[in-house]
Amino acid sequence: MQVQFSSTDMFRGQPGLPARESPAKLSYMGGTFEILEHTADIGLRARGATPSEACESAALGLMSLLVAPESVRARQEETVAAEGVDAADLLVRWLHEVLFLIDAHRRVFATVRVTDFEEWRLKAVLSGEPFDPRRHKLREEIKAVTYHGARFEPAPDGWIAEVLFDV
Amino acid sequence: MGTPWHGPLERLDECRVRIPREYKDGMRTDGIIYADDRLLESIRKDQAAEQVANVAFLPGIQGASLAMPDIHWGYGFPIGGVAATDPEKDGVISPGGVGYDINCGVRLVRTALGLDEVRPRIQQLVGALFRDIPCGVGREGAIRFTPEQEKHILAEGCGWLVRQGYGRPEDIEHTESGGCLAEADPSVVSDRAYQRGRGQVGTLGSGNHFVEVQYVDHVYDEEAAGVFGLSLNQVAVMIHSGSRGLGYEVCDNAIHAMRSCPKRYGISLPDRQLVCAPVNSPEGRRYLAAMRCAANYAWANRQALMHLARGVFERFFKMSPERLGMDLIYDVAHNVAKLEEHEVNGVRRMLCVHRKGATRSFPPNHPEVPARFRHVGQPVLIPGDMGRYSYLLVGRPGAMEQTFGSACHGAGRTMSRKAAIESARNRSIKKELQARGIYALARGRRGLDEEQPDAYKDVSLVVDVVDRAGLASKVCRMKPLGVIKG
Repeated sequence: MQVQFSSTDMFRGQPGLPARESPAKLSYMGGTFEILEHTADIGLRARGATPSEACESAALGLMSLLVAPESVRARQEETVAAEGVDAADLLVRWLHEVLFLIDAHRRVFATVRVTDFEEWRLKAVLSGEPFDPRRHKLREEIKAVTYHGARFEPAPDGWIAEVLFDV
Repeated sequence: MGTPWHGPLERLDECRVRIPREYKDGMRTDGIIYADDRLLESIRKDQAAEQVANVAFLPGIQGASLAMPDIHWGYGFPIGGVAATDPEKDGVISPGGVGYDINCGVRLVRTALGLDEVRPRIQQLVGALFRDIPCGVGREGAIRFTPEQEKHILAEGCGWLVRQGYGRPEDIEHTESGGCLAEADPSVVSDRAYQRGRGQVGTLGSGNHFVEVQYVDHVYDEEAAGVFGLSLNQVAVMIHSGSRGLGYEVCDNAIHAMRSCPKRYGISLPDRQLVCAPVNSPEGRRYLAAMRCAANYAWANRQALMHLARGVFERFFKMSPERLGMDLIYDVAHNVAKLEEHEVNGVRRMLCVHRKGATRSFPPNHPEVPARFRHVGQPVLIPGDMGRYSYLLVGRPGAMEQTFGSACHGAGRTMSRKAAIESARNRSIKKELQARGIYALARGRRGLDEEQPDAYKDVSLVVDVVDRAGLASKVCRMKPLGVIKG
């Protein structure tokens, strides 16, 4: 499944609602993610009908924290593999791989497609372009994907993935 | 996330509360949080106290699981956490107890300039700093090193950089541990860590990192201030940054490498982020050797940032280095694990002290305090928020007796980043700061929104507790004039 960023600015949430009650949700082709409150850092909750979709949502959530999604063009593809000892470990390792590409290889991504998924490993194709400071407004520096409170498990309406980023 | 904590907090005295070890099965010792009633109110708002209890699970922990008054909710360890383990008693080292930004820290540089010379030109000065000091997400440095040179930085820290001309010999003496932890082994640092750190020496980064121009607005201890070359209305520069991408990757690599250690060494942990290995195990030693490289990289980074700032001041004020008097007062690490000698039940022991958002605070006459101010104690640098003030303190004997030579590291957040952005909507933090006489420049608007003064506790409440508890004593208070942020 190919997923695309919506141009909604997730950080602005619903005007007029108190911050805690307005987890700004971003929808894309059936999957969503939202930003969770944390005093010093930033939490992310992503959902999907399948584990693959939840992983795609989580990666898009991470991307949207870093850069305005509408500024990124899907021009070049890159393949990523990740493996974990269990579900939560896979989620953290997967997001770390994406973060590493962004941070060390200086790339930004517009789309994410998980092509293979089994317990607990995945392969994915990310499509994006080299980071260009003139066009890409970087929002946040994410230092790491932490294991604190990390979960990746079935939920009544599909799969749910939660992580906390160190910023 | 963000739910209030309702566990037991027993007041021991006006500065400390205790989480008894009976609170949770698996705690090996009590938790002790340094806080008065005013601070406790905000500490109760999230799960930071639970994290203090979780750290008490670490094998070989000595004394209590400690938290400084700027404690706030982190991941794994609370921010503001201090834990000492005894390697001879199966004591562990936990990469999460240092954090991703290994040797994030602060340095304070004095100048011979007075408030009246700087305030009228602060906008232009901040503009010049902003132009010449790379800051913000993903910015690369003005100073470039080859991979071979980077290995020297990892092994030798500040000293190597100074020998290349980026500073003065006395800068090394005025840096914690001489700006270099021994037994750093660049060969255990992964290629990926090198890749993430490439080109980042002399870059500020984003988040709460900053270069701030400040002036002394209150002196508490004239003698100590005099020793540091500071007096009322004198201008100083504070720099806050860390080990950048290299440190983040070293920490991540270690957490990943240690994932099977709890099972291998029979360690039970309440939070996966606390993953650890015995200090004397192959995994523990390997992490220490890599962490020391990242710590040395961070010291070199702050040295390079100071070098850039000195250059900006020299060109801007058209003064010689001698007349400008930009001497490094001190540089402290506040995310680090170090092997240090401490007394436990009357016996000297070599302990592994984790400081996760805590500053070393060694008292007068400690051999690790630079000779020039050994009689007043180690400078303890406490940045506050952008709008209020920062403090210079000196270590007191109480820190050795109570906290393995540690004190607080900052104000501590009280508002989440998201809540801070919400609260800044339809406001201009930049203009609000300007109305208070502070000129701020940041790469993105969000940097200022997230870091607005209201997002932090009042640092004076934090410093008061540290002072009253006898961990460190106040020397002077600095007010911001201008700041650059990522």
